[in-house]
Amino acid sequence: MTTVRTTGRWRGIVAVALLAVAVGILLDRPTVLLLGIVGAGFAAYPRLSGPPTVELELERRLDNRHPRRGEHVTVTAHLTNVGERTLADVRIVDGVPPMLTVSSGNPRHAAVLRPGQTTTFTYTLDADHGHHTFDPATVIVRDVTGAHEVETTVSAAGELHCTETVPEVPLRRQTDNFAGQLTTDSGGNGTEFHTVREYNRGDSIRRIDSKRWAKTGELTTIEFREERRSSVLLLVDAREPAYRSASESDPNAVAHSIAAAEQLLGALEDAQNRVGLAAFGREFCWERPGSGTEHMTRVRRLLTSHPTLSSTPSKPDEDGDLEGQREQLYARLDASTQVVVLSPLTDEWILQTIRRLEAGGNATTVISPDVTADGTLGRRLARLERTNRLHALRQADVPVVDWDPQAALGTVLLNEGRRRRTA
Amino acid sequence: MSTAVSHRPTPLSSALALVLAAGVALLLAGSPTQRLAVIGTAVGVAVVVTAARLPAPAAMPEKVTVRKRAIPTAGIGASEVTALGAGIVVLSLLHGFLTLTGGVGWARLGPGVLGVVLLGLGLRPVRDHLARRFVSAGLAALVVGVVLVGIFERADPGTLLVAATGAIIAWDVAEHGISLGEQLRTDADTTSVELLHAGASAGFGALLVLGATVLFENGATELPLVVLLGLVVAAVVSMAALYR
Repeated sequence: MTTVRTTGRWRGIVAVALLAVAVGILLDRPTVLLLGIVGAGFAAYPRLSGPPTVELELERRLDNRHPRRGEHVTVTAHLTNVGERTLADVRIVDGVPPMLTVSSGNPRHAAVLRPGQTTTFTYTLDADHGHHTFDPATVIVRDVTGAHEVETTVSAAGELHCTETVPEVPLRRQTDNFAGQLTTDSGGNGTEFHTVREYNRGDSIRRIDSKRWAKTGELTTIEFREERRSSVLLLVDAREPAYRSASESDPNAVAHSIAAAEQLLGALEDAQNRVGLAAFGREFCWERPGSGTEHMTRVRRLLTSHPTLSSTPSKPDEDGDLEGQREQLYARLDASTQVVVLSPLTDEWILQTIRRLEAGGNATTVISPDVTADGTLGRRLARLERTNRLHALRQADVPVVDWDPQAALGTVLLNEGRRRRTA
Repeated sequence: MSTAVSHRPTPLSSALALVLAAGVALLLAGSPTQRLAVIGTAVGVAVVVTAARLPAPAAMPEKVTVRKRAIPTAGIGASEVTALGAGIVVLSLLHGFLTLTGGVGWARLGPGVLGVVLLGLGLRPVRDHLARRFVSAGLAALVVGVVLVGIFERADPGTLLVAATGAIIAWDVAEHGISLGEQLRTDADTTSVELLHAGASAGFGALLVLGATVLFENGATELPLVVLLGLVVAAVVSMAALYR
C-alpha cells in the first residue's frame, strides 16, 4: 500500500513574494521588489523535484530468536535503497510486535540513502512469552524540498518465540488405557511399589514375591503402580470477552493463554501424553488429541496461525456461533479425555461450559491468567467477579490455577502440584 | 503545561532554525545595543526551548520547608529554567527598547526579536498543534522586519536578500524539524536527513541571492526595467506555484 501526496509546505511562501512585490511597487523601493525574486524562487522550489521513486529492502536480525521471558532481544534492522535514485529523506518506523515493548534504542530512524546504500539501526525488545511476528515497517520518503511525500510499507521476516518450559502439568487422574507417565492408583505393571496380593493363576512369574515364597511357601504377587497415559485437550478461550488486558500496554489474556498453551504442549508431549487443541472465538478451532511428531507439529502450527488464536483483539461482533462451537466440542470430545481450560474467566458463559464438561465426565482443570487491575470501580468489580467465579469453580471441585502473568507459569504450576500432593 | 505536548521538534533543526533567525535579526539590527538585545533574546529563547526537554528531576524532594512553610518543588527543574530563559528575554528586550531613538530603531529591532521569540515558541512548542502556526508567524515577523528596513533605510540590497533568504530557510528548517519530531520523536537519529535538507535549502537560497544580486547590479543603475522583468517572471512562477 503506497500513498503519494504533496505536503504543500512551501505554499505559504507565495505570500512573502506577493508582499515584497506589492510593497516594492507601491512605495517605489527596487530593493524590496528584489526580495520578491527570493520569495518566488522558493515558491517554485518544490517544482524542481517530483515524488521520489521508492525501492527499499529491509532485513531484520535478532540476536536471539528464542529468548526467555524478560530477556533482552537486540533487533538490528538494515534498510537498503535498491532503487537508482538517491533518497534524500527516508523515515522508517519498524513494525514492533504489538505485545512487546522497546526497552532501549529506537525503532524509528531517518537516513539519506544513495543507491545501494544501507542504513542500520538497533533497538532492544523485552521478551514476553508467546509467539511474536513483526509487522511490516512503515516508511515515509520525502524529496529534498519536502514537498512530495511517499508513504509505504516494507516487509521483512521477523519472528520471536519466547517459550518457557513447564516442568510438570497438574493433570487429574483421568487416563486412557495406554502406558504413559501419569502414575495411577491402580496396581499393575510399573516401577513404583503399590501392594502385595494373593497369587492368581496367570500372574507373571517375574512378579511373584520370591523371598516370601522361600520363607513361608506362600505364593504372593507384587503389584506396582500402573503408569498410564492421559489424553489432554487444551481449550483456549479466545472469545471477544477474553481479550482483556490489565492496561493498554500489557498483553491481553488471550496472548497469555496462547503462550501458556504453547508451554503446556511441550511439557505434555515430553510426558508422552496425547494432546489436542480447541479454541472458541472467531471460528471453532479443533485438533483431536493425538501423539507423534507430525501431530504435534500440526497442533503447534494451529497455535501460531489459526485465525481464532490471534493475539490481536477481535471486534465485539466478530465471534462466530459460540453455542454451535460449544456443541461441537461436546460432540467431539472423547469420554476419557481431560480438559485444560485456558481462560481469564471474564464471564459466565465459560463457567457454564466448564461445569458441563466436568458434569459430562471430562476431568477439567482451569488455568486462568489474571489480567484484572486495580483502579476504577468497574475494574474492581471485574476483579471481584472473577474471584467469585474462581470460588464457584473450586466449590464444584474443579481445580483452578490462578496465574498472575508476571510470574512464570512453570513456577505457578510447580507450586500447584506441590499443594495438591500435600492436600 | 508539558502534558499538551507529546512530541517536540528535533534538537538539531531547532538549534539551526534559532541560529538562522537570530542571524537575520542581527542583520536587521542597527546599533551595537540592538545587536546585544537580539543576542540576549536569542539566548533566552534557546534556554526556554531547551528547558522543555530537560528530564524530570528524579531525586528532587517533594517539598522544601522554609520557615515552617512547605513549598512544593515538583517539576521545579523545567519551569525554573523556563522562567530563567523568559527573564533573560525580558531583560534583553527592555535593554534594547529603552535605549531606542525614533521609529526607525523600532522597525529595525521589533520585528526581528518578535520573529525570534515566535519561532522559539513554535520550537518549544507551547502546544502540539500550534507549533507550525508559531513558526510561520515567526517567519512573517522576520519578513516584515526585512521589508520595513528596506522601506525606511534604503539598505544595501545584498543584506536584505540574505536576510529574507535566511528567514525563509529558518522557517523551512524549523518546519522540517517539527515534522521529523512528529513522525520519529526526538531520540531517533535524524542528523543526516536534517543536514541534507538544510544544506539543500541553503544552497538553493544562495543561488537565488546570487541571481537577484546579479540582476540588481546590472539593472539598478538606471534601468529598473530588468528588475521589473525579473519580477514579472517571478509573479508568473508564483502563480504557477499557487495554482498547481
